[in-house]
Amino acid sequence: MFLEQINQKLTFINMVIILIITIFIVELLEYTLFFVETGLIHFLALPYVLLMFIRIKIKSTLLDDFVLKKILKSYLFSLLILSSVHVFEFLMIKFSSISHSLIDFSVVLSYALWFLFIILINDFIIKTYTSQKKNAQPLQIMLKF
Amino acid sequence: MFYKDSAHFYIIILFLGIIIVLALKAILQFTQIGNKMPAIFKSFTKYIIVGIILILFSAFFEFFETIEIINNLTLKTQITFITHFFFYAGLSMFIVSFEKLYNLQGIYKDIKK
Repeated sequence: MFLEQINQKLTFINMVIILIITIFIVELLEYTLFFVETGLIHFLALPYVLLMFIRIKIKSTLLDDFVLKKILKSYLFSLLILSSVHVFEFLMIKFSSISHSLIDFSVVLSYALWFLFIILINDFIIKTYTSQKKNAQPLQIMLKF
Repeated sequence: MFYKDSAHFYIIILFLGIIIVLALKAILQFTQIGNKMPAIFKSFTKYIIVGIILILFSAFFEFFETIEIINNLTLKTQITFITHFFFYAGLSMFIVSFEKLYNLQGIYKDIKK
């Protein structure tokens, strides 16, 4: 129940407010160098990882279409990995001796991998729901009204 | 460290190009999905496309973080912040886009009732 209450409050305005508060704390409270030196700026991705977890836990209202539900879960799973990239970056900076440039480069690579994954999922949706096969037609009609 | 005009520099530029191409492909696919199935995906795709553009900006500034072009410490710090703020803004957009999928309107709302 508690998770559902949080889930309902994740609207556009609330997310913008959270973002503005984050920017305000980081930029205006004279801790600018503190956030970079401690690597805490990367660790701020953790709340977003938790929000993704909440989104995965809550059941969607996409009727009983199990294909769409699986697509939704795979989108969320990929986003969970994407948001945890910066948490991993923080841990790598803290506990490993690999150079910072290499760690940053791995982040750029992870973005590329995420885009690839998203393209694969999208391709699957386009092929499943917009194909011209006869057996796909009832589903198309159901989705288009 | 990756310096300007080294082999790494060009490899990173190559990857940035790959990311831009992949992002454009993803945006095209999302617009296609939104147009084909407007009842479910229209509002979802709107927000997710904005999110992808923000992630793309984040990747662009991450590129400046990776290469040692800028020596000014304040500017470097700000670039790190801008990268992360774009990233967090992108993630916020994705979270909002899924809200649109969870609360479908129209006939789907009526069926659920």
